[in-house]
Amino acid sequence: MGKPKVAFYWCSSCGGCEEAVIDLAEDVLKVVEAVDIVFWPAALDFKYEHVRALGDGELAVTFLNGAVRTAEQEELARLLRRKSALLVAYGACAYMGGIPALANLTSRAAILETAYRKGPTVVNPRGTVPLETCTDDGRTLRLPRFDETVRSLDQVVPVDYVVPGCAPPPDLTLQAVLAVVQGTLPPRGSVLAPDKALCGTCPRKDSKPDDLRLDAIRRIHEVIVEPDRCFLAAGVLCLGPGTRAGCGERCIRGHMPCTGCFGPTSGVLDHGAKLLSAVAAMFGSNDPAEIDALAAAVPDPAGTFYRYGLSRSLLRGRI
Amino acid sequence: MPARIGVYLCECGSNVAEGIDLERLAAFAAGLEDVVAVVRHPLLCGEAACAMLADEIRARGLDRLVVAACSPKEHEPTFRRVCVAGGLNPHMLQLANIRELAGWVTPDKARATAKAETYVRAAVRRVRRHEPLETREIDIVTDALVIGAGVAGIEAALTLAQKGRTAFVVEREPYVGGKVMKCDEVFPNLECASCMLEPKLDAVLHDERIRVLTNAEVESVRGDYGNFLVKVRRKARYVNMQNCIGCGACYPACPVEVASEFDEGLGRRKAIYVPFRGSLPNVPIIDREHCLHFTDAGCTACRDGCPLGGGAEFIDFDEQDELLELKVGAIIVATGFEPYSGAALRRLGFGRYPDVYTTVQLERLLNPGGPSGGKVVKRDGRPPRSVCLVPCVGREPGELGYCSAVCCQNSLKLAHLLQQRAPELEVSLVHADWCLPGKRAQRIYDAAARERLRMIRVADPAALQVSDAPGTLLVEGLDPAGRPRQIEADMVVLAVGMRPSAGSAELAARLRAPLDEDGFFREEHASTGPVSSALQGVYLAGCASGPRDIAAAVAGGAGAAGKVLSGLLPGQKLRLESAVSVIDPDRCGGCRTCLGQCPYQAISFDAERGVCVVSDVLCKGCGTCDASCPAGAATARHFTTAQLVAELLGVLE
Repeated sequence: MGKPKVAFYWCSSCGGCEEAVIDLAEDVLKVVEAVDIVFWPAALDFKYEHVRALGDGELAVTFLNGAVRTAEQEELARLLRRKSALLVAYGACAYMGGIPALANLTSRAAILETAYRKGPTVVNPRGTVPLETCTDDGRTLRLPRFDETVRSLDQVVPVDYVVPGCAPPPDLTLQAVLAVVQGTLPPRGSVLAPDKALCGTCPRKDSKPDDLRLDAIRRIHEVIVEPDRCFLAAGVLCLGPGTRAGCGERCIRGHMPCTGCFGPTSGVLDHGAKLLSAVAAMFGSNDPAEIDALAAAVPDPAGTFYRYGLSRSLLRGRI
Repeated sequence: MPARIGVYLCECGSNVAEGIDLERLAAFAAGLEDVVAVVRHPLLCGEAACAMLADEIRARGLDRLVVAACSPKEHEPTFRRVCVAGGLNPHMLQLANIRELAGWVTPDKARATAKAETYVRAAVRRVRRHEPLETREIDIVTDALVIGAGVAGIEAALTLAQKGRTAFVVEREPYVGGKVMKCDEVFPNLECASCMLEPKLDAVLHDERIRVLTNAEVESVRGDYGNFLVKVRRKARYVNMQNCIGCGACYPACPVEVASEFDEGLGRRKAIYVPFRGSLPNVPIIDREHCLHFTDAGCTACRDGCPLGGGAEFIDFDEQDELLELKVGAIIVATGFEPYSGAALRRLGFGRYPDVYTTVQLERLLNPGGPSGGKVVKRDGRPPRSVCLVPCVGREPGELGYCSAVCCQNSLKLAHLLQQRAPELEVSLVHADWCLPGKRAQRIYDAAARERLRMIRVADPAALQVSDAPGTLLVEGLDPAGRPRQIEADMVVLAVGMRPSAGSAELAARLRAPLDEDGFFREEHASTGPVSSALQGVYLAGCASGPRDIAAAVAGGAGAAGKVLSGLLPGQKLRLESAVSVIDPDRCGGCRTCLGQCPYQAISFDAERGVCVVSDVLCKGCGTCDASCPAGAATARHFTTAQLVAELLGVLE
């Protein structure tokens, strides 16, 4: 028997997750040594027929990144699910909808209208918008269907494991691949990262006060936060208290607060709602007017608390 | 193994049966997952029915029980007892309130029945996820804490100090006795205040069942009735309470002199001092703010002046605040009052004219231990020719807004004492309406009326003004007929009302006890619960809950102590909440969001492990930590996310 076959695929994705695999650097050799990569459109020239030609379950594992919004993405997700023994939602978008899922706050029609007609840099005098089928000069062009909403991978097909992050860090990626090869995976359904909140591993945690009280909410450019000071203590929203650890605190070490890309711990049903109620609990006032002022200091609550998780939230989007 | 759920439908006489089709509901319940028995009964809360239910649990081997009946507020305890009688953990029960939430409020029977079905389904879904919880008890603590060592607090402590009990007294000031100690003679009987109190102060300080902590304040209060944990900060006194003999030799040695707070700014004191001659405990204190040892170059004059050598065992400049944790079953708030100090004082020239005084200052002038040795003198040291007492200072709406009930009698007393000390003195007593309640006040008034007093009635004390003229002060106002009145006096004394003790709001927040609209501690009931607060185990005495005289304050102290003694009996057990919160240390990142949210201060931060921990003795299971925990690490037992989601989906499906 040869080496286990592995596929990488991308759906609604920025390409950062592909970069994350490349970021393995020389460790990628360990991966290549252990597995056969049989499908990876971003890096290697394989065709869909190659995948269709595989037997069901022949792929040991597929790492699929990106959310699902088009018929083509859905078709590939289903195909890869069928061909794979294990399907891993790789990265925040496949896991929870990610940034693309913020589009669920608006509608398909409004998106097309903005992107093709109203955008400030759009020149489209005929008002052309993409159609699924269009005939011109006797030739027919087909485009994949563009869905009403953005879905996470598990809302389309069953998912076995999750590697979280925007993008996932190389060490978690390598561990995930090696766990598949070595058969050391945790129970199915697990997120392949520590089940602990990020504050627990934060290099700035010692400066967090026992009784944190937000009396103002500041954006990162409005305040100088000392390199070892807790962002929340400085009034800058940091989602570390409610976000899963395992990222290596890359943002925090890079002097930016946590934005929640690893999603919640396993104890949380709705990441954004939990973050919102925790931040509300930190408000240092009981006066309604002051509370309103604090709340108003978060200009984009959905984009702040559901930046990566709107697909998987209880609310899902605008109704 | 699947659960074995029994669903019991109560007709509640005709209360439920009339509004809901119980036959249909029974058939519906029988089709729900894991339901092995559905039984309909005319009245499940009856004694015989409860016994039947307990038998059913055993006979059918049920491991969970759903009772579709009335509100859990009414009969949850009843059916929990049934569970226990049937050999089940009391938490393996779920009530579906089909009476108040369906039968009574939805007139259409078919719709009410459909609604009842959703509640029963929700209850079944929820109870499937119930887990047995342990029932726990601890011994109650019969010791009690008294906050404030004024007359009310002292009476409370003396009453509390019974066999096998300890009364802790925490007093902010460095002395015991409270505001009464400032007075010379007090109404109604014109007794010397300090002579009257001395035996009680002595008893409090020497009773081995009473522990007095002066110069100390309550820092935090956790726990509940029968089991409070109180953190007290005993501030550094810098003079050793055990070794110092209180000889006073250090006072003249001290080079610093500042205005005396106890003398209301009329006298001076040293940086090492006792507030007044004879104050107890008879041990001086060092005022760190002014003492040159701390502010400048390490002066040691007091040490040098100490006849016992002044070593660190007597005067210890390195003494630190001490944090004590007291375990008490109940707390008596006897924090007293402050004299009114608001805007009306400025209207009446206080602070502008040196010879405008408050009644508290006059008490100090009359007191032989006071700044003038008991002689009534003006700022220039000369006796006044005439004194005018101004009533009701601060009583008007927008200021205190209430009558302090003691000022009229006190002013009559002061007028009498002034007259007695200096028979030539002309004393004017301005008044509006007299507040002279009770069996003794009228006699004080009658006696005063016989004296050489000028009583001048004015229409509105809030309209009085004080100005100056050459060699005299002028008190001006309108009499009841609207005619202007002008009283000349070279000393004006303002009868100030009582306001809540400074720090009442902070203390109330620590105790979680409510204040009233005037900032005093709110009684459980103004008429029928005057010594209880709204919070179980916290009682009120003296002026903490409003202005009152000495007798009433003492009665309140005894009353509050009586409540404690009769409520906390030795050997009694305290039932602890079973459905408490837990924090999963694996998930908790130690963000401490929950710490400030817990209304019972039951959560602490374990710095070593970097996680928050719930005390299952202090936790009441309110679930606030669960709601605020961003990490999903805190869980309120019996209200877990899984249970609530199951219940919600049971309703919404």
